[in-house]
Formats: sequence, C-alpha cells, structure tokens
Amino acid sequence: MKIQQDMTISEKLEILSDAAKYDVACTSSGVDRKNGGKGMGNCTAPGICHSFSADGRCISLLKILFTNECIFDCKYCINRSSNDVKRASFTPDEICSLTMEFYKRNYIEGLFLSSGVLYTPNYTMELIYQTLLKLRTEHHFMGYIHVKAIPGADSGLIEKTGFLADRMSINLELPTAESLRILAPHKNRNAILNPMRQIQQGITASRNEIAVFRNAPKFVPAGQSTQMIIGATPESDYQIVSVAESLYDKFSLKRVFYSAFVQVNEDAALPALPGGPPLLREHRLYQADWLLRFYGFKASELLSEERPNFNVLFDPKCDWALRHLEIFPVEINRADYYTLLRVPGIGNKSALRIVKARRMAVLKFEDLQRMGVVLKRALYFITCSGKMMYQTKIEEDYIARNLLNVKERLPADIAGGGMTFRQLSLFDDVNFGGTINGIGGGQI
Amino acid sequence: MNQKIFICEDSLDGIMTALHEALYSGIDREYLKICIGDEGNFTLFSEYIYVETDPEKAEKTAHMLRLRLGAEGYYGICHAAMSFEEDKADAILGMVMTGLSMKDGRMVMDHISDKAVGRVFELSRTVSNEAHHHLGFIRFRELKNGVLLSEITPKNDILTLVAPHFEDRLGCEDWMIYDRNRSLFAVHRRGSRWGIVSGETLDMDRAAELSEREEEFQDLWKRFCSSVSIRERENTELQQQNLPLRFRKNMTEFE
Repeated sequence: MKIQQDMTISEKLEILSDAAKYDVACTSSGVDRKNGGKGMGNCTAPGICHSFSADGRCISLLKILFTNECIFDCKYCINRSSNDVKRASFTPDEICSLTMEFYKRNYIEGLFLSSGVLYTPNYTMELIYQTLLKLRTEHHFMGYIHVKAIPGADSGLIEKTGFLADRMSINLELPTAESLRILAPHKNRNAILNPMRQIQQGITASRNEIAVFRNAPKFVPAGQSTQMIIGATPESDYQIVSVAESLYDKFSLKRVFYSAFVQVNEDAALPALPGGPPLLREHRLYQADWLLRFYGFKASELLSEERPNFNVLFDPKCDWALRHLEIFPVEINRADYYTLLRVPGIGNKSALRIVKARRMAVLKFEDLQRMGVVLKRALYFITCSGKMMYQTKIEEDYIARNLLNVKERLPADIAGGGMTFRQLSLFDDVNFGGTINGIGGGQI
Repeated sequence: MNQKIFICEDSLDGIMTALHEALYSGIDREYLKICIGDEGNFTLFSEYIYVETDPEKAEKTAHMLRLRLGAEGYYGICHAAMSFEEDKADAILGMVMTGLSMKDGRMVMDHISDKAVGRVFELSRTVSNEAHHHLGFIRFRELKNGVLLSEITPKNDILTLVAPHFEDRLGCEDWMIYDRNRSLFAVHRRGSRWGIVSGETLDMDRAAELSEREEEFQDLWKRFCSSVSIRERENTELQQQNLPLRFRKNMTEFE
C-alpha cells in the first residue's frame, strides 16, 4: 500500500468519490428544516434530486469517503486492505469547503460521508464527528447530512455524531450472518446490529424528549437506513425480503437499500457474473420493498419457501394479483383503499384520488386515466359501475399473455443479457405460473 | 344567445379580473369563455370583451376564492395560472364555477371527474412538477462581485414558486435567478426579501465575470459527477428519462 502525499483536492475528490459510489443511498428525504436566518441551508421532507449520473442514478448528496484506507479486508470491496489501489484521505477542512461551495451553487442537497476504517473504528468515527461538528458549528451548515456509523466504534461517539447528522446508516452488507463471515471476515453481525439498535433507541428517546421539550436536540431526525449487497451470496429473494421486513419491523428502519453486486475484485469466494450486475433482480427487490412499506403487503404473501425468487416477467404486484384472481375484479366505486392498492396499475396516490373523487361522482374509466391509473394494466382487474372496460376474461393465462404485450416500464436496458420482453411474448405457451430463475440468483 | 368571450392579460391578476367580470355577468357557463391575449380565430355570433387588469377587482376575487374554494382550490388556480398552456384561463373559469356550485367548494379539487377541474388539476401538477425539478436543477455561478447568478429557461412561469425556497436556503447570500424565456429576474439581497424584476435584460459582460475560484469549483463538480457513476451500470437512457435534455443546457455538469 502506497500513501500518496501532497495530492490536490481535485485528485482526492476523484479517488474518494469513485470509492464511495458503490453506496446506494443518495436520498435527502425525511426531514423538514427551515433555515431561520442563520448560516446556509435547509431541508425539505421529500428530498431533492440535483442531477443524474451516466448510470441513471440520482445525485443528491456529495457522496464521498473520508478516507479509502482500510484495515478491513472485505472480499467484495474495492477498498479492501489487500487491494493495491490509490489511497487518499480528506481533512475535515477540505470536506467543509467542498460541501459549502457545492451547496451554495445548488449542486447538492448536502453531504453523504462514509469512510474506510483508518487505524481503528474509533479513530475513524472521531474524524467523522470532528468534520460534522465543524460543518454544523463553524460553517453553520443547515443542509442534509447522511453519515455512516463505523461498525465497532464506541457508542458514545456514535451518539455524539447522531446529534449532528440527519440520517445515519450502518451497512448490513450481506443478508445473513453466514455470508458476512465468509466475505467480510473482520465484521460480525453483532457489531452491525448493536449500533443499529442503539440508533433506533436514540431516535425514540429523542422523539419522546421533543414531545416534552420542543427545543430538545434532535437525534438522527431523518431516521436510519441500511444496505445489502445482492447477488454476491446464495440467498434467495425470499430470504432477502424477509430480512428487510424484519429490519422495518424490529429496527424501525426508514429504508433498506439493495445494491446489485458489481464485481470489482477477483476472488475465489465471489461469484462470477458474466451477465453483469443482477440489475433486474435488484429492481424487483425495490418493487417488493415498496409493497412492504406502502402497500400493506407481507413478505410471506409475495414469496414462499416453494417459490423463493421473483418472477422475471412480472413485477411482484402483478405476480401476486395473477395468483389471487379470486378477489378480482374489484369495483372502483366501492372497494376500500387497501383493496384498491392491490390492483396492478393503481398506486397509492391514484388510490387516494379515487377514494376522494368517488365521493363527488360515479367514476368512469376515462376519469381513472386522469388520476394516474395505468389502465392498460388495471383493466383486467377492475370494474366501473359493474362493467369491465372490455370483454376480458378473469383467467390467469389469458391475462398474463395480455399483460406481457404491455411492456413494463422498466428502466431502460435493465433486462440485460440480451433478453428482451418482446422476444418472450412471441411464445404462446410459456408457463407463466412458474418462476424463471436465470438472473443473478440462478448462476450462483 | 351569443357567446361572450372575455379577453385578458396573461397574469394572475389579469385572469382574476376576468373571472370577476365573467362571474358577475350572470351568464351560463356554456356561453362564457375566457381567453388569454388575442383569440386567433374570431367566431361568428360571439361578443368579444377586452378586460383591463384591475388589481382591486383581482384581489377581491382572489379573497373570495380563497374562502370558498379553500387553500387547495386556490393554489390549484394559482399554479394553473402560471402554465404556458393557452386554455388555462377557461379551465380555471370552469373549475371555479363547478366549485362555487358545490355545497362545500373546498372539496373542489377532489372532483377530478369534472372536465374543467381535471384540467386545472393537470395544469397545476405540471407546473409544480417543473418548479420542483428546478429546485434541484438550478445552477448558480459566483460572479466577481459575489452575486450568485442562475439562468433558466422553464416552460411555465415558475420563478415565484422557486424563489421562496432559495430565500430560505441562501438567506445570507446575494442571488439572482434569470428566466431567459420571459426576461424576468428573481432577485434577493442578503438579509432582505426576494422580489421580481421585469423589463430589464441581463448584462452579458458582467454576467461573464466570474469570481476567482468559480472555475475551480465548476471543474471539481464536473469531476465528481463523472467519477460517481458506476461504469458497469451505465445507462444513459435511464439518465435521460430522469433528467430530460431540455434542462441540461443550463446545468454546469453538462456544459
């Protein structure tokens, strides 16, 4: 390992943003804070995207590592100690200057600060804390800060940092303890779950305090998130979704992020992914994640031990609907909100609009379109005043075949491996009921 | 009966004045129409009435609408009035008449199945979406005199929607956002309130005089944007879906 001296800030930025890019979270949501006339910055609850990089991902925060030097040797990580990569470290002042100047020009919504482990977890966490302290107290920065808790750092340090940050996250890294042991020998599950629990309790305590003392300091007001790597280890989608569900239920996480495994290291313990990162699989997990958080679905409704992976052809909600045709069609003018949410093509916004608008008038199909319902998917599952839109059959094969002709609005090119949806729709007798397992999971 | 067509100025006050005239004329909806600017085709058997903008009448109407249609309905009207679409004034008229005929006008925006309300809803959503995009996509450059300057070319007149956000965020800075399509400025001076300036043009020479470190930070930002992208996931189609080309001409990282 070679430590470069006298690097320019531009070189450092290039190395340390390149090293941070595999972290998925770039959201700036979850907290509303007015500036109130001092310093610079504010936050808006829905978050703001400032740009999009060439991979189509949102750029909202200045996403950097404090340092990419690391004593850990996690096999999947570009910055592992056994890799020979250029190493660099910022100083707290450099990070402050970059954040303030970028923010002023409206390039960013705030800072996302993560780090490799330099010397010890405590040493690194202390550096991160000092940076945040400078930013908040010297520069009076009021914008968004997302910071990583370093696994193994003292709880006192984590707590101090949490009072300066908006969101904290600790990466779960891999869905199970067993995988973590194989691929990240220096981390253990407890060193990740303990601070996660600590932050959860800190948030609850801080909320209770604010309820009594309005001006009590806020601890991680935008909540806690985490991230898992998908496709580096043999877990099924069902296992992953179940882990996410219990993180939401037991650790009150705000978000779980999924990161399709990108092969940056050659290692016997890592799978070879000739088709590139398992992007479709990642996409399906995000769709399922939304169903868990906003649509009242349970992991066990979406998948099971017998059907452990998501359907390649249909999104999880369509897939669910096709297996539960007994509840369809539902009547738009009568079905309750939660039933409407289960209809493919109806999202939570449009469901809410339907519930409100039908108090004013009986809704017809043409009204639905204006409310944001995707009719070409929904039409097989709904009636308006007792009538279907066209003469369609409530039959799994029939609906599945027709839905395949409606191209799913996947982010372009996600299917990968040269497989397109059009090709598949040429077959008349594909067995739509079964899962097709070929993306990511099947290769391991 | 002949149709009456009220022609008004393209501004919120103009539309409010025309609403005032139309509502008090006592004519049925089907014989009423409000147009912005000159109607291209004059139709037979129509009476054209040119409405002069009257701030007092406009304020009175606005006050009445706030009370009768509630905050949601009123903001719907304001946002729709900023749209570039030509049918906006007539859609607003229809929506207002629907709202006033309801038992509780504050529910008017829920009545999406009504054609005019649906249209106002659509217009107002497009306008707020564009405004929201600009909160993120606006780029400031620091001039020699310390002023932060941004140039934008929005489809709709969203300047008054984005200015309050930056007033709060950059309260201790002098900044200026210039809408090139409409030659309008939102101007903010450190420590005071923002305002709209019209009838001026941008002094191109002074706008090109950058502060000492401006180019350095622009360069740093461009480097950051390219190094933060994951090559194995490159997907410019998705990028374009999320960040349409029309925004990019005013953005530092795409220069």
